Amino acid sequence: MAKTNICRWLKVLVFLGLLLLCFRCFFRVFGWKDATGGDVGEDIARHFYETEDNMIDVIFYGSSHCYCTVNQAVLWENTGIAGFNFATGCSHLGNTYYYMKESLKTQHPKVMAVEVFYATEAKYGNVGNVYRNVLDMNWSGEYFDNAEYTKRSSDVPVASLAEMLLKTPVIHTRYRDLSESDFRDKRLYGRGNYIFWEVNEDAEIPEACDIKAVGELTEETTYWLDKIVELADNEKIDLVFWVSPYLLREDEAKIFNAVEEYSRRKGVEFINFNHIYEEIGFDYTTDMIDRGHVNVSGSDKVTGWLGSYLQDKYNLPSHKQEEKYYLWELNAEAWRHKVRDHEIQETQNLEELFNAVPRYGYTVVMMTEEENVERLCGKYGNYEIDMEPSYSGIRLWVDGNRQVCDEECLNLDLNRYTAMTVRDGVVNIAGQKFYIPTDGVRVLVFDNLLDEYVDNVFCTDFEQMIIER
Amino acid sequence: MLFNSLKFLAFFPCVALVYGIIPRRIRYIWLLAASWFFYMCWNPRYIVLILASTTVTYVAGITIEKVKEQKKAKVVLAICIVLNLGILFLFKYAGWLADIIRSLTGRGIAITLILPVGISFYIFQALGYIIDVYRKKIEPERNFFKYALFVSFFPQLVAGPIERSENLLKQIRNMHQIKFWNYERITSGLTVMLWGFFLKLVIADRIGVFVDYVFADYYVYGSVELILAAVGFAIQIYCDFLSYSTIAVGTARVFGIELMENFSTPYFSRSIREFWRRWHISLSSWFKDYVYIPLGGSRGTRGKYYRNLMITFLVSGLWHGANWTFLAWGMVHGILQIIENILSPAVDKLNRRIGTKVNSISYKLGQMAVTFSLVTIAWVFFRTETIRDAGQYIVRMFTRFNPWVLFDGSLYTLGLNRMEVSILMAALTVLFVISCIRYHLHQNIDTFLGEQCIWFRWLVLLVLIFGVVIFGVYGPEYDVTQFIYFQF
Repeated sequence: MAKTNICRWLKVLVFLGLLLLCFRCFFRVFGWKDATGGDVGEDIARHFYETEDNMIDVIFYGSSHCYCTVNQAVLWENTGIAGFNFATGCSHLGNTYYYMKESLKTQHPKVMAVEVFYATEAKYGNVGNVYRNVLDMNWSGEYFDNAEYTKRSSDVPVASLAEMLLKTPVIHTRYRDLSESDFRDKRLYGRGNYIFWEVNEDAEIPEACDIKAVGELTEETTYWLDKIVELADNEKIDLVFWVSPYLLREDEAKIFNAVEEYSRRKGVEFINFNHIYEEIGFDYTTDMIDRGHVNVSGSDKVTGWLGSYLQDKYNLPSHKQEEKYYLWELNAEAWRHKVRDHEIQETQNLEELFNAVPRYGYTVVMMTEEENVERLCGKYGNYEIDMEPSYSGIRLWVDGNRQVCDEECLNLDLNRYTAMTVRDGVVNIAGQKFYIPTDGVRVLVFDNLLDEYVDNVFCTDFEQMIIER
Repeated sequence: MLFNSLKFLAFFPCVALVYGIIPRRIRYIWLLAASWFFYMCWNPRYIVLILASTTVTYVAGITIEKVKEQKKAKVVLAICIVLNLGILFLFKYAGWLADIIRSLTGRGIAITLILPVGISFYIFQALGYIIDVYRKKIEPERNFFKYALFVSFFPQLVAGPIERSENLLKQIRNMHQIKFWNYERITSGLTVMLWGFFLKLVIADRIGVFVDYVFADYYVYGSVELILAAVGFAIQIYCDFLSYSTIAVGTARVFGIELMENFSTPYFSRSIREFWRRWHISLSSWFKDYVYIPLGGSRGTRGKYYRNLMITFLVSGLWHGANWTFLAWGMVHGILQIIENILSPAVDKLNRRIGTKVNSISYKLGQMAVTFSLVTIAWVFFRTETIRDAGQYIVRMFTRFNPWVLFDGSLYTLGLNRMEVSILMAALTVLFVISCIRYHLHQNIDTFLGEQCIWFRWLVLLVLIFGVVIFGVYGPEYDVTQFIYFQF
């Protein structure tokens, strides 16, 4: 009898174990992954958690101003500093404090660089901003404290505290918009940088950059700044407060001056890029994407300056030759692809396009009627088009190896995730079909590393080779 | 406190664990405290009503036993019934009646009292007890707290099943004999609860989005939408009410208490009469035992029989709410039963004449379809705000023919998109399968699963758990939806 009972309750335990395992998978897929306020679909927190312990030299905290400004790939390329942006969109100082505490459980950086836009006490504004400041974090004491703080300071109606603590009541509705990235994160190397190419053409140098007047910090802001300073002191980590360049208003400028004064009193480094924009060559008219965020050009300038400053001031080593820092190298490689992809998209004719696409890491498909091939024969930058027998009119270059499609059917894996087929003159890449044009040439460019389409161009002008997109 | 709330998810395990740990002889005290707390989570003031009803029926029960003369016992019974129905009338019908008087005479006062949750259920349960004591079907309970637990037992307090003293009170009296840590019973109770949550969160509340959407502006829609919404409401109210009863049964089972079954695949009924043997069984049997049979039942002339039937259904309609629509709903069912009764000999004769195979599946399915259609049309009275709305709705169901909406995708714009409809269809398939098992094998989900191999059982449980967790309608995006029958 006793044996039967033990067996039964053992079954309960096994079932509960199975249930927990399923819940783990559930949270992996359904977990909140949007820390950035955009449709980036990458999981900064998960990338952080999956980074080996005690690897990071500098952790950058703060809001979207932080992750749009500091490009970890550029920082790595320039200095070999292993940095990470552990930042979320609309992160209030309280959120930042809990993110700092959370990060220090596994990392012990030499420097913590806290971007302090939220000393201005801007609002969350929408429910998404509230959730992205809470739900990314793993369950822990910091998670509970952060949720409680966020619920208390939220200016928009949000879930109850219990619902946020449980996460499931909030995240389960994600079944409506699950995508590939929820099931497989292709970019675990991500270091938290999100850089954009757009230019805010209306931007001008803000007059508030010259304001010397000092505003007053609220009790709330002072409280969190004190907590942050205290945390850095206790952990014996150097602390830097910084403000990203942006089109700031007068009232905001005064607040940052107050933070500067506060930092001076506390002996904390403070950098306001709105005060040194000329020194770093920052141009508000070309380097912003909107009022608050810098673009790729602005990011390069700020990151370049910041890298040298941090390396000189805190004597940070370069880890470039160290194998265990491969995630940073991968991140840099991905960034090089991003830059290259952007250059490809800017090309005007086929000659430029074939010059811009590197031979390795990309798939290029050229599709045309066979009689047009002769007109295209010759060397085009990294690629050579010749008259080798091919009935299909399709030339294919996959990761450096040229393949002429002279078979009726071709099945290829472009990388771990995406496959392509060529069948009866039709190219199918991950379900998207492309047909040979009757009156010109189509060129498809696919980035094998980033697993993204880069370009899909069409050319009818065989003299000038001008392309249309 | 709703079953489908986080509070209940914390409340239930705490109550169960303490129940399992404390000495058996004080279990009923603990459950009574938990039940009163459960009820007071809605509005602490209304605990007074339960206490009043409990005290009156408790004292009346003992008094009836003490008085020797039948006449005096009858007087005590009458006073007790009047007091209980008085409470019910005051909170449920006084406002409605005052409105009628005002609309007829142009004078009078407006009475606005919030309807205490579950008042009709616990008052009927208490009345059932006192009538049973009067009929000497049961000994009056002398322990006030045990009796109070009978009236207030939290799993079935606010939406039934309306328990009989012969069943529930007897179990409460013997509560000290229950062995709490019983693997089969607890797992069965939890499985039943899980099934209840699936019915409520995945089906009822999801289909409710579509039903509310169409009923809110029914006038602009054509026949197809109106028919689908009416069918949708039939499914919604079934799943909603069934889910509450199911969770109640499961919850009580964990405590070692067996509650009566409230539904038995009612939409598989082949006649209206059969429907009422399968739908809301605890209420139907209550009305049968305490209203219909005392009125004379089917004894006497046909006229008397039909009169008794109509009275019972009208009272049943009124029990559901103080509105003409509920009265009309009861009346429709009464009329349908009478018509059925009148026509059935003729139908039987016709079938014999033309040689219809009445035992064939097709004939039975046809009967089910007709019954379901009639019940669905009657539900329109239940769902609409006024009789006029119900009338218009039903007329438009059959006069605004628009079959193209079945093909042009516009059905997916009525609150549920394609994905939600697919989820709903999958969930309804599960419900259909479980209902077929119930109908043909006479097994509930827990007994059926209990007989299957462990892998299949676990697979079904995990599917149900994650069906609820992922596809359940809950969380900050939704208001916690009350169970429809709470308003009665």
